[in-house]
Amino acid sequence: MPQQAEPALRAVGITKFFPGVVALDGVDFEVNKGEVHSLLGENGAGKSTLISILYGVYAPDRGEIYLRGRRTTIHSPRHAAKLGISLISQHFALVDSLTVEENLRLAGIDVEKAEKIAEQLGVEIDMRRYVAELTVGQRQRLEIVKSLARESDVLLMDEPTALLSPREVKSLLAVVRRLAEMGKAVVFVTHKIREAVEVSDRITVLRRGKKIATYERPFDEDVLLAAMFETSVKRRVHKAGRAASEVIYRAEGLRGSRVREATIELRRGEVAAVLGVAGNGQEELMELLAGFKKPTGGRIFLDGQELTGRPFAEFLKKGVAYIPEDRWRALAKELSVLDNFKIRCVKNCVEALQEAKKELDIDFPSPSVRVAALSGGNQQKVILAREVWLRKPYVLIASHPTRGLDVETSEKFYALVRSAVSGGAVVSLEDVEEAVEKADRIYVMSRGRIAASFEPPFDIGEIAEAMTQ
Amino acid sequence: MSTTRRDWLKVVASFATGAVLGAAGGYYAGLQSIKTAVEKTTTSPTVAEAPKTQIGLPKMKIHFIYVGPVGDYGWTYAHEQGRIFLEKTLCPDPDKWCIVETSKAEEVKEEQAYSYVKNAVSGGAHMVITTSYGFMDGTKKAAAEHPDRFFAHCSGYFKDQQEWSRLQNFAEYFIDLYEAYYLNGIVAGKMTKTNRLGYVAAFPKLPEIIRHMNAFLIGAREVNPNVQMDVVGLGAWYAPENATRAAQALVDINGVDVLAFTEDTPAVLRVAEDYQKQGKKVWSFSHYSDMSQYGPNANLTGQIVNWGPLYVEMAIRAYLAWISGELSIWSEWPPERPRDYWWSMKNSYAYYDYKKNPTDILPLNPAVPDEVRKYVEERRRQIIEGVWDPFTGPVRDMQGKVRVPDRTRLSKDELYNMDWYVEGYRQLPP
Amino acid sequence: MRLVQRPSPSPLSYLYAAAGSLATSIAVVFAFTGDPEKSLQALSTVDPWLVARIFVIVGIIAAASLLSYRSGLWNIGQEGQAVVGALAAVASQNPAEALAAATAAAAAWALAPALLRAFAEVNEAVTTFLLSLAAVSVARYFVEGPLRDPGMRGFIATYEAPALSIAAAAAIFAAVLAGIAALYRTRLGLSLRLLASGEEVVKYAGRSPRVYILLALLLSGAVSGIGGAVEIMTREAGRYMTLQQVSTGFGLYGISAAWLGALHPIGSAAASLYIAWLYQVAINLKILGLPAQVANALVGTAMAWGLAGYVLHRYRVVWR
Repeated sequence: MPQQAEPALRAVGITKFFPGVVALDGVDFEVNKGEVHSLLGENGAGKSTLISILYGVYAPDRGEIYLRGRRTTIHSPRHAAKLGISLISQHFALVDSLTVEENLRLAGIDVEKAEKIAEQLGVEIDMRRYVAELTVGQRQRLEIVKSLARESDVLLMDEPTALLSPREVKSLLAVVRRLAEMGKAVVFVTHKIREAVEVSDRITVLRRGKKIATYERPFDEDVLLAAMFETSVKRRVHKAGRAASEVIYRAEGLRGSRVREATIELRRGEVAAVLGVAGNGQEELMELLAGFKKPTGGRIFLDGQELTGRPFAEFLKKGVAYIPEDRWRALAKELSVLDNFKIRCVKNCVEALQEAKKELDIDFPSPSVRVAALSGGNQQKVILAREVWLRKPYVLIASHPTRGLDVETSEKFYALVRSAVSGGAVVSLEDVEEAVEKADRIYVMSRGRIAASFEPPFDIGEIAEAMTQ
Repeated sequence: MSTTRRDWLKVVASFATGAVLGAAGGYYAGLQSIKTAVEKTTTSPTVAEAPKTQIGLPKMKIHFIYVGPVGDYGWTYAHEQGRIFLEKTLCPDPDKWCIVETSKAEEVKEEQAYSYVKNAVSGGAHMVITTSYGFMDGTKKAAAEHPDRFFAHCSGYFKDQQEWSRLQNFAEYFIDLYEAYYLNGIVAGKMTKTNRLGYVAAFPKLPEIIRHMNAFLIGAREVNPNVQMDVVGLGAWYAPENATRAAQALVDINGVDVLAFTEDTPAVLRVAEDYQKQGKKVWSFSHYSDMSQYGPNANLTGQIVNWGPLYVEMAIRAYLAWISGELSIWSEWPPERPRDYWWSMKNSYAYYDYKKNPTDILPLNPAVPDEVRKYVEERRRQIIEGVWDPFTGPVRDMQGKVRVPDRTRLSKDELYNMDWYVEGYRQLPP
Repeated sequence: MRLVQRPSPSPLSYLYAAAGSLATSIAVVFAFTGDPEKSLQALSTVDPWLVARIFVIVGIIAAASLLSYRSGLWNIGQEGQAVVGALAAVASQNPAEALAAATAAAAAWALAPALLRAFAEVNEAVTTFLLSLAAVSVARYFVEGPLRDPGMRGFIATYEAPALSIAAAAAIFAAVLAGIAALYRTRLGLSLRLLASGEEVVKYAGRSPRVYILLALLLSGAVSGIGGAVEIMTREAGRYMTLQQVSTGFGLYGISAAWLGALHPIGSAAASLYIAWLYQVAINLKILGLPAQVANALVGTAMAWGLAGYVLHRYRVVWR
């Protein structure tokens, strides 16, 4: 490999602050011509932020970017494209109702040239088909062809395998290797160790905004795993194993549009966590579990009574509470805090709200202020107060309940769950540490399936591996 | 009292000739006799308060209330022309020789009529003229509440004799066109080659329009018994696009070659002109005002209305009543002209032209053969003289039932309420 | 220039809008009369009876509008619903029957758009508007046929609707407002209001969004129908419908008042009073002989200001 020349793209000491967070902390990164360099890390490690900076979406707060040895400021995605950098993201810039050929023309690309590139790349593209008919993988390859036709020599690929089936993943990885052989510089972002190992020439691991290390072939998967998570991979979290109580809630073989097969059991007094990398179907699973959405297959039992396909109102009546990931499903934007509280509260609501305000330390000037005027954290607290503190549900199904909360309130939430939820809770989380610390049982979700389940004592290494397969 | 009445008789007579002949001298002669009358008469309190010209003529304020916009072809435009004619005739010199001051409000909703009339009265109007049927009840109500003002309403009726005698200060007026449509029909019957006539009607169930359609068809069948007529309804007085489409369908699908219509625009005439330009002989007419500029080739003739003379007559009579404070002058005199001004071609004059007659037809298209021209002229004269009416029996309806017995005519009421169709229709809207 | 959503809406914007509308109206009057004395006359001449009548009619239709808009639904067919209500009134023997019939008929008229919106997600703005046009044809059919009064002789018009005094109409208006205020305090009303934040929120609250979509649109239609009935029954003369003039145009005024009044029962009542006054000014201007378009435009500008108020209520203008 031609290593001696200047790297195609080099970033030095990149630092980026978001309100209250250091998203990237002095990260160095470089990619050469003809090389695939992976960025590996958990959700929130800073991979996407770095990609966004390289593509001109954000400006770094500190640090420099060199393009072919020349210091460059990338002003915007359009500027990046002009500089020969392109991004293959999960959102395709394609029009469904047009054919492939029409899409290429729309993007100002010479169709013959695109056909030639596709041939070189070994991908088949039927020009006359409508984009709506293409699989996700085919669309992705079309995007790659588009960026090559635009003479890009740096390709940023942000979680390109997230939406693909296993077979499509394989052919994508082959295409990525071909790109490197054609002399392109490829930045491959992933949280899956196997993929990174298979496709990369080098791998840089990020964790919580920091660069841990850059590894060269041959790779050691254990080392990578250790770098992605804590150093003490093999640490086992010992928990006082609860006495096995009876199963109060059981979902068998649930299926939906993004959930392929999920079986979940909840025992009395338990908090079960569903872990997984974003986009693997957890949000839909929670909708199905809470009865907010009807499954296309599978069954749900509560205390032995079947609830499959019943309306959400009946789940509510049976004591199920649901905290969705999208806050604006649980809160009415247009209405006041008090009116929002009244969605569940029936009497003495003003007093109850004032009490909840004190209990959970919710900050709002008056009950009649519109809920949309509150900060995100306070909105979340209003939901928690209403769904958990006020309702004292039997079973709680919560999607990312602690997102946007400070540590103290997060703690308070789990304490509240233990005290106010009489049956048990299923909580979907993205942070392994939080799950290991708070949950009594952990399900790992991957590609729409429950890939594994764990009981204490937890082995973070095993869990992380299940998540990154 | 009786002497005054005789004076009035002179005034109106002088005006009748003056206004009608349109000579400037005539206006002034009329105004001069009014001046004499004013000086002789005890004036009522509203007259004392009214503005006066330099030579002491009190000005009567007349307010017009229109249903549509003034600036277009059609109904309201025609009334506005009438108002302008009235002002020119009775106010040739605003500082000296002037007895009226007119004002107007356009685009008034029917249900708001009463409010507008009341507002006009409180704004000082001595006479209020409302020009849409839907204004009737509001105008009558205001008339009952303000016996010292005058009110005139177009195209309505008196519910009964009691109402007639109760509302002494209220008049109904109208200028009917059925005789003109009849004359058009004669021309149409002679000009059609396909023996198929078309009629584009704003509201084909409205008695006024039934009357027009029937008269048109009677005229055509009088000279050509083989003629049949197809009717398309529009559902609006103003609907040029629908009228265009209807006219085209009548020609293309039904094989019609003469198009009559009752709609407020020249749309139908334009359609006929377009066919003429393509070399196809399709004819139509003018409606309400001279539209021949829109169809110089296709325009056979057409019915014309001039509200001006009627407004002048009503205004003079109201004026005389006003300055004398004697309502009965308006209501009873002259006895052959009740407060129900139902004018038609009978109120026109055979010896002068369509621009001055209350209603008349336009000069015929040069394409009309001489013998037809002669026949139409003869019928026109007979109608004006009152010796002929289109609905002279026997007239049968579509079912063959005799509606007008032999050698009789229809009464005003029967004409006004016409809800049956004569023989000869082929296609009527549901 | 672009619009940025405000985190919390600014109620002041409606005051600005009202002030802006007033200023525009006065400026227009001055510009067209060109005479301070005449302007003053046009602005100050008021027929209390007329203003009261328009106020009540516009107010009721504004209430109907807010019943729909507060649930995030876009009923713009008030005009047609009012026409149907007026038809029902014409067909009735006494005021009570007329009001009941108008309510039922107009609700039935709104049923089709409501069902289409609830079950087929067909945009209700389009369907209500189209049905407004259809209402004119339907009304004409009734005017020509079943409801035609043969006693009207040579003219085609319906029977007369029973008469209703302004005081009674005002009481109905007050009852409608009180009803809305009370309704919005109940759980049912809360669910209706939740709808404005999206159907998902209603579902989340454990209720069926469809039921509340139906309810909101039917209520809105029914109250519009009451507005139409009150309009025809409170006329001083001519309480019938004629072939030429089926529709009265109060639907649009009601919608304007609802927006200008910040979609609040009291606010829209205040805005209705303002629009009734503008209506009077328009009449005054027409009697002064001003072109009808100018007079009619006054009410139109009030609507534009109302919408501006709504936009500024929720968004901030950023000049950049």
